[in-house]
Amino acid sequence: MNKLTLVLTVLLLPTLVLAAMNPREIMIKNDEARRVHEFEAQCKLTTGEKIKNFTLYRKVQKDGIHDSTLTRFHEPAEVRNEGILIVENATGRNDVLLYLPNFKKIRRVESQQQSGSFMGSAFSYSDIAAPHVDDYTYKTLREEKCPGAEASAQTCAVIECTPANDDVKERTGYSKTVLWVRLDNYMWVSGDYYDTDGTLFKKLEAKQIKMVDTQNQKWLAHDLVVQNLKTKDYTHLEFSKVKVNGGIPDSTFTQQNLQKTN
Amino acid sequence: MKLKALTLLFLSTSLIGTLGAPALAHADEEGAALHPFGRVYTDQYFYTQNRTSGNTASSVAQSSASLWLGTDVDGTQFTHGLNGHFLGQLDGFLRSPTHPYDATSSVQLREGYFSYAASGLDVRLGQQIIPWGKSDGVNPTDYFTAKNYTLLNPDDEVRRSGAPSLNLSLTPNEGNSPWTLQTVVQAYDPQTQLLIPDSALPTGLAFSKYPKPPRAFTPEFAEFGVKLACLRNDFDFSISYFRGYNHFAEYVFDPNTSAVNPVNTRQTAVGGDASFTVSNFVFRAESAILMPDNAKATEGLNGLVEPWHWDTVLGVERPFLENFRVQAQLLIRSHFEDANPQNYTSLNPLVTAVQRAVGQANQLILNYQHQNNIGGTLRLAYANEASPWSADVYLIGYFASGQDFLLRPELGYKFFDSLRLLAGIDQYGGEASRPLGALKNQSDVFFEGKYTF
Repeated sequence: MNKLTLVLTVLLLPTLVLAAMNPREIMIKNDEARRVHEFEAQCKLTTGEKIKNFTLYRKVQKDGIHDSTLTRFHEPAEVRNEGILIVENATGRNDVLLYLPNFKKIRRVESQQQSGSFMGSAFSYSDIAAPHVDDYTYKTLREEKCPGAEASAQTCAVIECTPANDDVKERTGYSKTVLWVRLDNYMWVSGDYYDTDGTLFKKLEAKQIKMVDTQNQKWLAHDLVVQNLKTKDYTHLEFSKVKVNGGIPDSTFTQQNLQKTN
Repeated sequence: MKLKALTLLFLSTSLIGTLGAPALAHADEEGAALHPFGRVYTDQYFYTQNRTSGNTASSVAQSSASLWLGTDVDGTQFTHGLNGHFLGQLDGFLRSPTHPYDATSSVQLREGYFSYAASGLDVRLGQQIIPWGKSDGVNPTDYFTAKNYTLLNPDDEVRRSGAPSLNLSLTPNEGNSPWTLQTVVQAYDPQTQLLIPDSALPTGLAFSKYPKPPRAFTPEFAEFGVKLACLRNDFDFSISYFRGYNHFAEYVFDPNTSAVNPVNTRQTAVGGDASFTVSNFVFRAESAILMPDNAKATEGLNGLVEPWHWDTVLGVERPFLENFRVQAQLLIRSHFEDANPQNYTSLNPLVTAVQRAVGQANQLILNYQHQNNIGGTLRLAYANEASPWSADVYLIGYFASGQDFLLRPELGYKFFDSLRLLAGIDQYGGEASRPLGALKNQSDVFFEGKYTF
């Protein structure tokens, strides 16, 4: 009897939690679970036969809400030493700066371009920047078994995220996003992305979700797969050599540092 | 024979490029702190106009093969923040308009410097290219570099050269401040070589067409510049001061030798630039007042050399559709005086005639025929990472006080990330008495193959 109670409790616990939590609260939990204060990783971006290797640095800004992200490309030779600095801000319009070593100059990337392809991949610049709770309104659609082999034993809340304002919509290029959020660790494992016309055009899958900061209970998906349904392109973004809270200085995320290539 | 030598050069550089890179990369994996890189490329330029040199028509403007080999040196194992950057360049050319074709080759250190960075301080010492300015292609505040326009290449950056320099940047607050003070001391002035129209130079005079680089490494030729920049992520601006040389040579008649020599004169400049984003538009502005020492009206040289002038570039750029970009820039040239060499007089009518002719050549080559002139650039580009094709159409011209232009459409094709072919046209046009219009018979069609490793 006790065993049956235990099994029922384990099975029903996510439902009970879901009933107790509104979708925004779940997304706040999601934000807390995946928001590592700072990390550095080697990244491999594979689209078809094209592979790009880069180092990614990310750090939460002093406001505790917004992130700064720097990517520095190593391969292929054509993009060697190119850097992209993404600095989120409260206006909803991120500042994106691109360093072109051949010209030794920094170029600004406009809002429209931020929803465009990130280095030729199925990811956009806005996909690389992390989403924020306040940027969206939320609706729970249902709960169901999580998609994908890795989390199939878990229950997911299926949450529809709608941009809270036009700036977010323009920056991301999405009219809405539907996320499958695990209720055990609050990490999302799958996402459907709809373009501004409301047509499904990207599917994203998060795999190899591992805890990277045991002290603060932070998780990171080490393998992201995105499919662009319009172009039929697949892109893998794989993280390795992840270093968490290693003391990345704030000056990493400045124009001055962006143009230092060696 | 020379053609054969150049072919061999190209083949050997290609071989080094394709085989050498993996070998060096392997060395890196074993722990050496070297990060090698490079490129090998060939350019073929053909005149589209009938040109003759001597008694023979020549159609090949330039046939060249080049190899760049470089390495970044990670010196952090010795001292934290210590790095190096070295890039050598080997070129082989067949060049018109001389006939038989002028075959040359050169080896040079394009860049070679050590850098040290710590606590907001960044020091670089050695051969460097230090381009200043935010605008596209036309940079009034680009005081330190030079460009060789006689070297035909679709990439303007390939034409750019630098000099040995000490480059010191200081960003307060351990590098966290948006403010940066940059100071540059350059050992000598690199000299720009412009394409000189055949019609520009008066006949019957002994002309030395280009200066003889490089300059000597002496305090006399040293250049100094300082820039204070505010580099915020949402906008940036800078102000700058420069004391050095005009990298564009002016022709000066020497009555003692009756020769006309290109001279780079000392000049002072002050300027600034800015850029910011509003919605889907990126705005850029760059402006400088350039004050050559020899252009003071009191020296009686008015008209023979370029007067003090104010150059401004105002630009806007935005993407459209999914893979296109459009960029427009307004170019404003304003000279402080109306510089007409025909106003020059001397006691000797022959000297007067020669000086006026030389002044007229300077006017044409350096574009000061009108006290004020307004021009513009327009760039339309297509790039799609999912497609091997790319295209770029660039137009630069002046239209207010005289009309001339350069139109350059290009079409690129990538076989894979590192191998790219490019074909395009340089079409000069407009009034033959204007700087770009006078180059009409140097219009060309070009092809480039480039492999990056």
